[in-house]
Amino acid sequence: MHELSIAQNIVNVIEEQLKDETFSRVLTVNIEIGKFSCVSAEALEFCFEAVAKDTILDNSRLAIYNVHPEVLCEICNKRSNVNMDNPVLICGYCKSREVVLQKGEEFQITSVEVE
Amino acid sequence: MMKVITIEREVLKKNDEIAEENRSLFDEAGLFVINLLSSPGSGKTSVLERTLEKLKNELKIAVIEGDIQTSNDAERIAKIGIPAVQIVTKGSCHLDAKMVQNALNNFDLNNLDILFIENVGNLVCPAGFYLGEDLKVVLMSTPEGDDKPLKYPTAFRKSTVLIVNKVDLLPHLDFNINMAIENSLNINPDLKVFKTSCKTLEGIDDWCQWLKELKKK
Repeated sequence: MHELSIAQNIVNVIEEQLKDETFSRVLTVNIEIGKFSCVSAEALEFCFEAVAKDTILDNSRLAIYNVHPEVLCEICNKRSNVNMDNPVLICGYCKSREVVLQKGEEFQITSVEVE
Repeated sequence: MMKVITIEREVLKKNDEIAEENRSLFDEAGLFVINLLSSPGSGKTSVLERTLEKLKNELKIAVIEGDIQTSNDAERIAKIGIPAVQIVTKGSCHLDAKMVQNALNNFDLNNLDILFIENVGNLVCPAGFYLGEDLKVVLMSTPEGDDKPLKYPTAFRKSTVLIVNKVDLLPHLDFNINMAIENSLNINPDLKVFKTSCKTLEGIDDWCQWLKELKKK
């Protein structure tokens, strides 16, 4: 993906969300990235540091939580992880294909830590 | 003192909000919108040309073309007598909802049956940017690898239709079409599959028939 414009988007969203809050600096930005979302955590961290300069997010840390794709089986009702080497949506227990993706496509700013 | 402020906002939420605005316009106009995805060179524009040549007297169709540079693709569509608008992204590797929204002013949406959006040739990013379409169609072509669906699962998973194009080249290639389709259906068992050639016109009739049967949800 194009992590530079995404990083800029993250800065814009947080500036907007924090405009009515009182704080001296942002310490950490917590992000969830699902492995199906095609966003590179490493590239995002690199770009974030660059675009955060001279904003309220200058020197803040981007804490990325990678979400592993998980399916819920409609037959046996169990949750199982998707094998990313062979990303077929199949129940890890009963091998049914009747599954619903529960996690793995997120790309969300969950919270920020400020002081 | 440290405090945590909950945000819980999707990074691409702004795009989705604009896409929903597009969606409302499409619904009001009774318009069916299809977003075409593929790698560069799979044949999206050629499949569109063959489709439009066949359907232009039966359905009212318009096309939005997306490319990083040139208006070549919109010019090809316009030659067939179909309204076409070119979005030149100048670097963005995908179309987003705002770009599409800006292009909609060029059409009388109420007077159309189908709008095709031919996305920038890229199997990664376009899958992540909802434009307000009814469905996505993913193309792959026989000179590409039959493991393409496994390498780019999101594009295949989010699509409703798969077109395997350039089947006329099969005798000259090691491409295992059954394996390619099996891989695709493993990623997305609900995919409707068409095999096409823009040279021999194989499969184009079936694909056009399916388009004619589309009903607005």
